[in-house]
Amino acid sequence: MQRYSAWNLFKHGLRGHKGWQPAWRSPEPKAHYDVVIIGGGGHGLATAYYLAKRHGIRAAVVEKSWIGGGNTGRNTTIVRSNYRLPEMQALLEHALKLWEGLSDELNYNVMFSQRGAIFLGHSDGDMARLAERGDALRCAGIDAELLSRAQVHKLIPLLDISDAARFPIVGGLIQRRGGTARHDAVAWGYARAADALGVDIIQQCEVTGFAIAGGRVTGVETSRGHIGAGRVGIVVAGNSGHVAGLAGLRLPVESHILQAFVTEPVKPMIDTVIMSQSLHCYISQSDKGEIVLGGDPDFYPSYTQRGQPMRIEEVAGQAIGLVPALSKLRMLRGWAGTTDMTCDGSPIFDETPVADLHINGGWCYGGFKATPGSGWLFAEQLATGRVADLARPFGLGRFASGATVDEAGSGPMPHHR
Amino acid sequence: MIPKAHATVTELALTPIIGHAMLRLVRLDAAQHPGLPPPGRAVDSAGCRIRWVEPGHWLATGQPAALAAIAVDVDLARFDVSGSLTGMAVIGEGWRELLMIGGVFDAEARTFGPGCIARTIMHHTPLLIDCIGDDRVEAWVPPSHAAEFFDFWHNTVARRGRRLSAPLP
Amino acid sequence: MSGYRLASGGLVDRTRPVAFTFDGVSYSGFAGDTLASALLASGVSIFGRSFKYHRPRGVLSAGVEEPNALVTAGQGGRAEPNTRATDLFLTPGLVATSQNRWPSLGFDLGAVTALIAPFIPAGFYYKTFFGGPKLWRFFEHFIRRAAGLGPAPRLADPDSYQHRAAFCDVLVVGAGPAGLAAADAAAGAGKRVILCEQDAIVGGALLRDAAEIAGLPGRDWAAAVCARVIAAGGRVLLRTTATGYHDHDLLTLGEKCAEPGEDAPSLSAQRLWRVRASRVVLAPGLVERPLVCPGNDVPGVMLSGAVRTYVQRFGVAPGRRAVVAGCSDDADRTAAALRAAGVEVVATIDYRRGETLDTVKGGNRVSTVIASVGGMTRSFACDTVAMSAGFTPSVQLHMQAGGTLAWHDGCAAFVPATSRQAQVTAGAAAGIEGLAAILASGWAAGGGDVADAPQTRAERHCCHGFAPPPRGARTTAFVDFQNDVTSRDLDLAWREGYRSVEHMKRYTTLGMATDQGKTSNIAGLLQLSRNEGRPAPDIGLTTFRPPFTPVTLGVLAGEDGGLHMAPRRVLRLKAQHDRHHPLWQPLGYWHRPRAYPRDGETLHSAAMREARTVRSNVGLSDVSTLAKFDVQGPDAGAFLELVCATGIAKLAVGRGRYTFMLREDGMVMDDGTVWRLGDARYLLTSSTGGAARMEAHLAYVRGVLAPHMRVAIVEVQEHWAAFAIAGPNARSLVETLACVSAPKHMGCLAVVVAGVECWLLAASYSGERAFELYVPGDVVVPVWEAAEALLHAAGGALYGLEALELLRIEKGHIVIGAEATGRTTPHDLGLGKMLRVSGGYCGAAGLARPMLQAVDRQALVGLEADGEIPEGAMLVRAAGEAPMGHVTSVGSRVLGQGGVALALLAGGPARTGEQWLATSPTRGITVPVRVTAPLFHDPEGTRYRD
Repeated sequence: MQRYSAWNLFKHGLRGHKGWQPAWRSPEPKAHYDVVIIGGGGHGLATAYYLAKRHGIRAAVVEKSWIGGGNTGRNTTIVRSNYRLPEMQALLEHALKLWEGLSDELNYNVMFSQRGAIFLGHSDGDMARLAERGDALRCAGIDAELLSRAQVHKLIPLLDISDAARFPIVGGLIQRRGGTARHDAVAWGYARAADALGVDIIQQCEVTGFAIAGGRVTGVETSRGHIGAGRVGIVVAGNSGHVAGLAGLRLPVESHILQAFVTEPVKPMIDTVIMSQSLHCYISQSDKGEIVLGGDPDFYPSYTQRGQPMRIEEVAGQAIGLVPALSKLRMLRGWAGTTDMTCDGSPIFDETPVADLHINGGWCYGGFKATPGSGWLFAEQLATGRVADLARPFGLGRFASGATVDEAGSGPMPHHR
Repeated sequence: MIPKAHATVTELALTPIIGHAMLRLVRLDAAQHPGLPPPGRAVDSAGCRIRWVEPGHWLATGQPAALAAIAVDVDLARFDVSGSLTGMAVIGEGWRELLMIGGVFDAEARTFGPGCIARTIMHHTPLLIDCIGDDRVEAWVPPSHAAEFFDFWHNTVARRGRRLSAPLP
Repeated sequence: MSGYRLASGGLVDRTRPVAFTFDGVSYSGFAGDTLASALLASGVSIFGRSFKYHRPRGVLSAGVEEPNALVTAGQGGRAEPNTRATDLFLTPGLVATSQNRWPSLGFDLGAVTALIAPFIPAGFYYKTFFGGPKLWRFFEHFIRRAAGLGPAPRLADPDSYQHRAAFCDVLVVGAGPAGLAAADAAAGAGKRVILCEQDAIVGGALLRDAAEIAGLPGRDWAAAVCARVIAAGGRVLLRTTATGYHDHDLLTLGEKCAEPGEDAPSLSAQRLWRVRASRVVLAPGLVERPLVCPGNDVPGVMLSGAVRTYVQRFGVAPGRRAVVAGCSDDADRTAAALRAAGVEVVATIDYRRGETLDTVKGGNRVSTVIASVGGMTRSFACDTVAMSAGFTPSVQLHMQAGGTLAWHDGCAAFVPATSRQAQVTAGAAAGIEGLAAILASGWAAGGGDVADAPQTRAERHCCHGFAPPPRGARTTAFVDFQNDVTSRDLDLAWREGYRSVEHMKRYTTLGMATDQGKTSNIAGLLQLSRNEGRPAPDIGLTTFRPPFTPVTLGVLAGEDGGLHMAPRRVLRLKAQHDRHHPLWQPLGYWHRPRAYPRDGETLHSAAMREARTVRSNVGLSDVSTLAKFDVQGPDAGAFLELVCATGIAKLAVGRGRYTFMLREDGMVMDDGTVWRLGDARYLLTSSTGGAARMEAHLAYVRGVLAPHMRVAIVEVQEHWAAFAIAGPNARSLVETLACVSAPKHMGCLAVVVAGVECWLLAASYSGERAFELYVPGDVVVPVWEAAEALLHAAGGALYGLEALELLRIEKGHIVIGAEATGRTTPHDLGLGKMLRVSGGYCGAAGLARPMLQAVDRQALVGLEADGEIPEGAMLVRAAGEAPMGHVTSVGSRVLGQGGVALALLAGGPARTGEQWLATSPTRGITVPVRVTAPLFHDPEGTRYRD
């Protein structure tokens, strides 16, 4: 793997950059791999990387389209670990610690920016809920700080903190170690590092079926032929239900639409990530200057990756209510991802009823922040055949047993989240 | 010159409706009720106005005595809902234009005319529209929403003289 | 050498001069000018600076595809950054400012980045800036300052925006010849027609090239068509862009009622149309492609069609000595138009003859062109280059509608193929050449008979052609002008393995600028195609999504955003409350009185006084916002036994009870009361915050779980205003008010107060003897006033939400959202004994899951302490241990001293008597607490029971 560095950039620049090699190969699939990973998004590529790096296993990643083209390329890039429930806190904090060293580990700048993620509180009740969340985090050793209205204003000068606002700001809760990252770079960085360790990344290769013998998976059928496998991991986000269905499995997930959009770029105006305890919109500004906005899902199941304009209009209205100066900025580009929603809003790490067929999915709309941790834990699961400790609360069986991890407390219906 | 087809909202009058009692009739099962208006329609009957509002639900307004006289039917339940809605009469031909602003249903279609009912959302408010005549509709909203909603309409009407469709090039 | 105004010609109104400023300098143009045409006429060459290298840039185009000439239009809160000077019509007093340069457009320090350009190709930032997140934050600070184009807005926007719905039989997008013909045909056939056009005047290509249509000069024909459309009841919308084609033929159109930067306070500045059409005719025309060659971005290099537009429509010559380089008849037309305007055409370079434009030289302005002409390399001195690498049909809206594309070899671009919705593409955008054919295609798309299509005798004018990508990618051969993506960047991306069209786009940022790739997508595709050795149609395009051109957040929000992003719901009795100057508390969309402080009282002292008054005398509180449902029918009781997890059916007429409702997973969803008002009539109440959820749940149970039942449910939240009268003296107040013997605890009675028929319910939330009076909302005022009068006579007090909290906490009543977190079962909350033994309620099956019976689950307890207990604090046995629960609600002893609280704690009531710590690291407080039963006042309930 050619090393990336400022010095090498300079040297290559002297030669017109003609010496750079491909970041990853396009190999023909081999006949058999110890592990086949279905899904070339951030989670799948991270899994392949850690499988090679920590367990010495050179897997194949099969991706039906181009890598990072699913939710990894469609999210609003927010990274944080400030969830309420201890199981989620542990999972995401593990991931956050990996984020902190990720660019150097991969030798690919994923632009992980710890600029702070703020939850706004709009009433004393909100502030009590934020304090509760913050206290739970601090007891778990995760950073959380309550902010007064003046402190929030200092961090976000363009926030409307007047009493005339529709939902006046009372204060906030900040995770200073949270922030954003460049989503495409995460996929590309893991792909390059995994490829350098011998992982075969096979794009334009859609899984069309499974080879199952005696209740055990032995390989995958793909658009590029049969590939034998000792173990298979499904990590395809919004397509989880579909791919698991190819193995005759019915997953407790529903695929929904989540939209997001950006504005035309302007000079810096918002330095932190803004979220709200009461409003379902979130705002940040990319390093390119574009304001990144998102809000509620569209609340109906669909694979189309397109939502309705009313949701965009609603998010625009809320964003202007929080930061009035946004009004004259123009929406430049919108898109949607397919989120796999589970009955409690938390992910799934488990072996399926088909032996050696494992699944990592159900990340709803919170998967990006977990990318490195998800890969690390799923790699351990695929290497050992056993779910890793941090992932153990997220088994498939929890819905039947009642041991659900319901962060939002809104129950099993995805449209209530 | 804006042709009549696009009568503007500049000459609308908005007048609160007061003094009516309101009764909701709801069928208990899938039985038909031929005496009551079909979906999307309203009828005047014996001093009451009866409107279809959703499948199996009708809303009647009138004086209490007239409402009480509506024939009792073992398959229909009667609910006093006088406090549930606040009414505003919109008088003037520009009501069609008014309903298009911030709205989502086709009030400009001539097929939506006297005797027609629509339920829609506008400015975050659930809205029931009852077309009384070519130059009059009645709008009903929950009372808690009424102040803000009718403010929205007053502001829209007050933008007098503003052309709502472009003149010829 | 630079541009100048021609002595005559153009469609601008020379009798109406318009004054404006650009970067503080005063200029004058004419009505009908864009900012770009007026500045060109005034001799301005440099309009902006590119994103990365800060290269000086002139205006490239005459339309919305402009990547270079971005300005901030207007000032203060009205300033609209990143406005294309080509899409901004002059208004008197317009203040426009250039962007992305410091200190000035002419002298921009940012240009130093050009010196290190060889070392900062596309994607360079992925290869460097290592060293950990803190170091990245340092670098990022500078990167963010260098990034962005327009200045960050700081002030609130004073403009207002509107949304408007419209429905039609035929929506025609684009009022060029094809669109006009389509609208004419449709209107003539009696259809409801809407014709929208992003320009300020109709005509499209007719504004650039005169033609005779149906015996009239093109523009007169266009005006006549519009008159016919309007006379037939249709609409012609100008300055209106179709921004999005959504599902079920819903299109969003963005209308500029005022130009960006125009001061128009009494108008809506912009309007968003939501149009539902039965059929959509897309006639958006073509976008010209720039040649990719070194120096193609020097000011003075423009698209050939744009040059012709400036000459013919705006009466502006872009320069004095021009080179025209193109690949079709269209370039010949530009050369002819320039000559007719008196501009010297130094050379014409025709790619059809194998000639090529090799290099453009110049710094702030074109000086020389090097070309391969007639087999030789020649050099031409000039100040303007009109270039064309062909024309790309605008297929964005077609693709947004889910349509497919087919490759058109002649255009070297994609044209619409199959449609999935009701769209049809007409005219040049469908790959059709020649005005006669374009008119016929539009006419047919509008539903007209081809035999009746408008006729023209214009010669067939061919514009199909293409200039292939150059051999040998160069650093100054720009493909995406705004993002400074060069042909060398595209080769680098391919070399590094970013080979799908999406990877190429994201790695190089080609097509991600504000022009959304309108002038760059095809060039990028052709170069990728050559590198891949695969035909362009095999590679495809990235997905086009709304908006077609960027649209302000303000107009997207309309009047339903900002201060109006959520409705404000007002209490019926607001005026009555306001007389006592309460502190108002937001609760969802409502505001409710939190307390009624008197002379200098704090919130807490007012709430304590109010609560004490309730405990010792009598209080009155407005609880109108509670959710309420009137349930009738022979199966009403059975229905409620599905919804509620307690017994219901055994309630006698005139009796009520506390109840709670479970979600299907067994968790407590809501709680409230149910009253049997008649044999087949019940009143169900539940929490304010859960009203919408409960209404949806009841509809779900009714429609899905119990469709066979004979029951009717009507929500009556606003029909019934309600107030609570509570305290040892409540009964006498109520009996005086209603002239009736008060019902026993949990009894209900129809009463008449002040001539109004009401329901009197004997229920206690506060723990004192209490009643709730349900009064029809439309006549509540006199009843409330009568109650208030009696209240004051008794020396009682109004009490608000804060006092309500203090009272209910002492009685251990749960609140949805505090104790009932959505993760708590009835057992967790101490309600297990109330579960109906016969089962069959919604949630029974979910509740039976094994982990929901575990004994160490977090369950409801009480806490007491000497002082205040922090709400939300974690409960730990000793400092540093993991939390085993948290404090859900806090209060004070109303008739005593000390703090009390409700909490969820692992192991729950079994821990009664234990000492714990309530710790809040975020607030820096730790309070020792003792676990108690969740009941701090009158444990036997003697104060309200009979």
